[in-house]
Amino acid sequence: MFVHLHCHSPYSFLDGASSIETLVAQAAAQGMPALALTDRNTIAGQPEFHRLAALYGVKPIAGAELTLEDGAQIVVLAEHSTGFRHLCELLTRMHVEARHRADPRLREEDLFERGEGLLILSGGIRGFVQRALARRAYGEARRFVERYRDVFGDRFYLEWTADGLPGGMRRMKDLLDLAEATGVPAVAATEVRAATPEEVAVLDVLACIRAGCDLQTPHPERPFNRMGYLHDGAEAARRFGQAPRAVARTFEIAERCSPVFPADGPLFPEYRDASGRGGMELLEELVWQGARDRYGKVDAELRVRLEHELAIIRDLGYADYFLVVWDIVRYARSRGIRCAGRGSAADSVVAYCLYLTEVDALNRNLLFERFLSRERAERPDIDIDFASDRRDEVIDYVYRRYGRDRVARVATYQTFRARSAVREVGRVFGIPEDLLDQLAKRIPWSTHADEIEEALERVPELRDFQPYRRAFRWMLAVARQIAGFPRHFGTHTGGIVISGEPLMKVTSLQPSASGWLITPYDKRLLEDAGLVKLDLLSLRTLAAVEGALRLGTARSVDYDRIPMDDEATFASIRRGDTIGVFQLESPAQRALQVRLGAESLEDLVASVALIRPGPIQGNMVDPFLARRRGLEPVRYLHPKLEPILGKTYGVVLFQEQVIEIATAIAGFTPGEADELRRVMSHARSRAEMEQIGERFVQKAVRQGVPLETAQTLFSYVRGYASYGFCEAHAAAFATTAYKTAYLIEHHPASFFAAVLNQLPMGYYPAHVICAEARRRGVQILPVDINQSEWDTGVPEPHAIRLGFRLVRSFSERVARAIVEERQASGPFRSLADAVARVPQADALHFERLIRAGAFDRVESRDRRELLWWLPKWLALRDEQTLTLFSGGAGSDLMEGAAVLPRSLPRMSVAERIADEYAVLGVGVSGHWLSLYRDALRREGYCALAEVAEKPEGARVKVAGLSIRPHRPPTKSGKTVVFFTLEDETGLADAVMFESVYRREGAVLFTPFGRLLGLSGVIDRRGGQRGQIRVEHVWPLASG
Amino acid sequence: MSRLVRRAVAVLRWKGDRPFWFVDEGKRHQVQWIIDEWWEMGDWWKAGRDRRMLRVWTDRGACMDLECEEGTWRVYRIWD
Repeated sequence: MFVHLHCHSPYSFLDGASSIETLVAQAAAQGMPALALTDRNTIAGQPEFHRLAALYGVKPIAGAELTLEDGAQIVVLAEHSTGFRHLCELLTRMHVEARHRADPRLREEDLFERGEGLLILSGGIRGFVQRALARRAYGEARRFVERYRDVFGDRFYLEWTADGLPGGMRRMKDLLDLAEATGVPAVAATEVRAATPEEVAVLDVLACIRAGCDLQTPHPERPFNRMGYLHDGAEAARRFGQAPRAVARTFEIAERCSPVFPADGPLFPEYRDASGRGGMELLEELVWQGARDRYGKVDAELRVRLEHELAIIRDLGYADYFLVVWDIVRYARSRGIRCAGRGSAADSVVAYCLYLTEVDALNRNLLFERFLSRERAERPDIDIDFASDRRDEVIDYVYRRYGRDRVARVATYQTFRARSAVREVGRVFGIPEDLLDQLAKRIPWSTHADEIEEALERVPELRDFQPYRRAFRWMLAVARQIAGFPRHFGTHTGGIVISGEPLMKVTSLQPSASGWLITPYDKRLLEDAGLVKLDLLSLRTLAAVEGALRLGTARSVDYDRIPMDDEATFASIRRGDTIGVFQLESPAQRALQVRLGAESLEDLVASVALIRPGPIQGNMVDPFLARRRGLEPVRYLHPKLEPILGKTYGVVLFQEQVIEIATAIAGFTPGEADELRRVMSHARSRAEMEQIGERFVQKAVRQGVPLETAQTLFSYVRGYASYGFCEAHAAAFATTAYKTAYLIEHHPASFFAAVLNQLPMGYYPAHVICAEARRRGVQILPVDINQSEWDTGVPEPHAIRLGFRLVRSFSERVARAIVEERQASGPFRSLADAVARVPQADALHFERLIRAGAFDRVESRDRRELLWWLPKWLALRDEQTLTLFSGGAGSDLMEGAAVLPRSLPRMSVAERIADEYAVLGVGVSGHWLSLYRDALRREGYCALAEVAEKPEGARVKVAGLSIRPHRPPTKSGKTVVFFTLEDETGLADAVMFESVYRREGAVLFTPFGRLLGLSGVIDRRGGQRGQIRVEHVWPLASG
Repeated sequence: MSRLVRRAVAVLRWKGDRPFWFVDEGKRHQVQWIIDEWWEMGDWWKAGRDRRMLRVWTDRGACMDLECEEGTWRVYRIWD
C-alpha cells in the first residue's frame, strides 16, 4: 500500500500541472486510500481538496511544502486540527515577516516552537538533507537530521525520493545509510507535480514561464524527466523496492493524520450590543422597530411575513449574521457613508426593516425563500455597496469591532484566460512577441484559455492568424490544459470574512500589496472551510452620487427624498439619453429605453433585468416590448402562469418567477426549486440541466400539464439559465439608476464632474462623458494651472473645470502643492514661475501639464516652445535652489535666465488634440473630426447630430471615433456588434449584424478601427431615437 | 574526459530490465557495476523521445553511459 505524501496542485503557482480534482480522481482510480496535498507555502487548495477527496472516497491529508530561511524546502503534514492551526500560524508568520512578498521563508525556531501536531518530512531534492548529500556534505546532513529528530521525535521522517535524476542512486543510498545511522525512519515519496507522465509536458511549460525562459533553454527549474507524476502502488514498489518498509510507512503516516475540514462548530461571531444583548431577542426588537419606521404601522400582512422570515432565521441560527450586517450598515450610515444592499437580500422584509436594503420586498411581493430557506440551509449572502471612496473606513471599523485576528479580506485568483495564456505560453514556445501581442489583443476579452482554437475559427478579426495554426498547435494544447489555473493572487474587491474564533484555526493569513491581511481562500473555498463571507463592495456610482451632492447646483438635493415620479427624468430616459446613468448607459440599454418608453420605476426594474444574457438568449426582449405596448396579446402557456408572469406580460424575466413556475407547474418542493435556481445561476453542466429538466417535465405531466406545454416551459427555463437577475437585485439597481438619471437631468454639471472624479467607472471614458455633458449644455473648461484643483469641479452652474487628477500619472501630492502655493503666493505668471515655486513637481509633471494645455492662459508661448524650455528651467532650478528660494527672487531670476529660443514650428491643432487625448483622455482644443469636417462633407459624410433628424430607413454615411464595440450573446448564437460613434457634434449608436461583421467588421477590434467611416440605414425600431444599422464599415484613414 | 559515440549495442543477457552482457563493436562487455541510473525527458514539442540512461562499469574496465530510447540500447558515451 502506497500513499503519496508530497503533492503539488496549481495553487503552487506554476509548479503543479494538474487540477486538484484530477489528482484526487487519479488517486481514487489507483485505489489509494489517502492523498496529501502539500502546495508550496500555501494551504489555499485545502478546502477544495477536502471536499473533492470526500467525494471520491480518498482520505485527505492537509500539508504544505515550506521554504526554510536558507531556501531549502521541507514538507509539513497536519496530524489533526491542532497541527493544522500550527501550520496556519507558521504560514502567517512566514508571509507577514517576508522580506519579499513572493518569497516567504520559515525560521527554524518558529517551526520548532509550533511543531505540535505536525509531521515533518525532510523534503525532496530541494530539501536540506538531499542537497547536503548531493554535495557529499554528510556531516551537515547528519547534524540537520539529529536536530530535527531531537525536536520532533517520531514525527520526523527522512524523505526518500526515487526521482530518476543523475546522482540519485548514490544520494538515495546515502540517505538510507543516514536513516540507519540516526534512527530516523525513511519514507518513500515522489514529488508529484502532475497526475500523469503526459502532463509533465505542461509542467515543463509552466516551469519555463516561472523561470522566464523558452523551451530551447535548459534551466534547473525545468523538470528533467517525467517521474514526478501520481503513479500507482506497483510503480512505487518498483521504484522503492530496495526498502519496502519505507513504502509501508506512507500508509502508516496516512493513518496518523485526520482531515481538518470541515472545522468543528460555527465560526461566525455572536453579536452583542453595548448592553450585552444579542441573538433573536435583539434582532426581533430591531426588526419590529424598523417595521414601524418603514411602514408607519404593522398590519396583519406585514406581521405574518415578518414572523415567517424571523422563524426561518431563528431555525437556521442566522440571527447573528443579520445583526453583524446591521451593525456594519448602522456604522456606515452614522458616518454619512452612502450604502445600499444588493442581491437576493432584497427579497427579505427583515433586511428592509433593518435598513440593509432599500427594496420593499412586501409590496413587491418578493419571495423570501429566494434568499433563505429551511430546505436549502445555505448560508445567507448579503452584499452591500458602499461609496467607493469611503468603503475602507467601513472595513476598518469591522477590524476594530471584531478583532484583527478574526477578520480578513478574501482572496481572489486571476486564472489563465485566453489572452494571458497566449502571451505566456506562446513566449515559451518561441513564438515572436509581436505576433503574440497582436493575437492576444484581438482575442475577445472573455475568451477562456481552452476556447482559443474555437475563437480562431469563429472570430473574423482572428482570421489573419489562421496560417499560423500549425505553429500554434502546442501553444493551444497547453493553453487548454491550464485554463482556469491560478496565475496571480490578489484581494477580492469586497469580500471580507469575520470569525468568532481566531481565523488561524482554519486559515493562514498573508498581507496584500496594500497591507490588508488576506485569507488565501477565495469565495468558493471559504464555504468549504466553514467561514462566512460578507461582501462589502465598493461602488463608484455611490461615490459619484456623494461627490455630485457636494458640487454645484446638486448641493441642494436631498438624495433620499428625490421624487420617484419626475416626468423630466422619465422623458430623458425614454429618449435614451442615459449616458452616465447607472446600469442604463450601454448602447443596448439606451436602444431598449427608446422602445420601452419607461413611465415608472417598475419599467426600469424590467429594463435592468431585460438586458442580460438570460432574457436576450431566451428571446424575451421583443415579446416583452410588444406586449407592453399592446402590439401583441399577452398569452400564457398555462392558466397557472398568469398570476406569476402577469406583471412581466407573460415573459420570464426574474429568477423568482422560475422558482414559482417550478412550484406551481411541476409541484417542485422549495428545495427542488432552489436546486433548479442553483443549476441555472451557477452555469452548471448541461447534464445537470437535462437531469432537472426531465424531473420538471415528469412532475408537470403528473400535475396534469400536457407534455408539450411542460417541455416548452422548460425550454424557457433553459434559455434563461445562468444569467438572469433576481427581481430584488434588479429593483435595488433600478432605484439607483433612476436617482442617477434624475441627477443627470437636473444637475448635469454636478453629476458628470463627480463621474470624472471617479473614473474609471461605468461604461464610458472621459471624452464620452465630456461629450454628453457638452450635449446637455455644460461647458468643459480645460485643466488650468491657476484654476484647477485635484478634483474636477463645478465653478459655475453649467461649467465643469477639469481637475489635475485627469492628467495621466499625475500625483495628488503635487496637485495639492500647486494649489497651496497658488493660495499662499497668488496665481502663477508663467511656466517658469511655476517651475520655481513648485519644487515637488518634476519634469514629467510639467511636461504633462503643458501638453494638457494647463499653461495656455498664462503663456503667450506655444506649447512646443514651452516643452523646449522646460529642461533648461528645471536645470536652473536645480542649480540655483538655495539662491532662488532663500533670496525670494526665484521666478524673476528664472525669467531673466530665459533667452529667446530658436524658431520652432507652432504645434498644430491636430498635435494639440492628439496630446490632450494622450495626456488627459479628452480633447479640449477641439475634436478630431472637426479638423476633417470640410473634407468629410465634400465626401458626403454627415455629422452625427444630423442623424437624429433623419427619417426611418434613411441612408447615412458618417464618421467618428468608435467607442466600446462589444458582442453580447444572442439567442441565435450569431454575432451582433453594438458600438457608439462620437464626433464633434455628439454621439450615435450603431449596430452591426453577423454578415457585415464577418465581411468587414473585424476592423472594429483592431487598432485601425479607432477612427471609422461607415454607411448604413437609420433604424428606430418603434422608438424616437434612431440607431445606425451598419451596412459597410472602413477605417477612416483609407476610407 | 569522455567521448560521445552513440552506437547501437546488442544486448545478449539481461539482469532484470537492465543489460548484463552486451556487444559493442564486436567486443563483449559484462556489466560489473551500475554506477548510476537516470531518466531524461526528450524535446516533447519536437516529438523528441524520452530516454533512460545507465552509467556502468564493465569487466573490460570501461566506464560507459548506455542509453535506451524506445527499447533500443546504445553506447552513448565512453569515459576515459
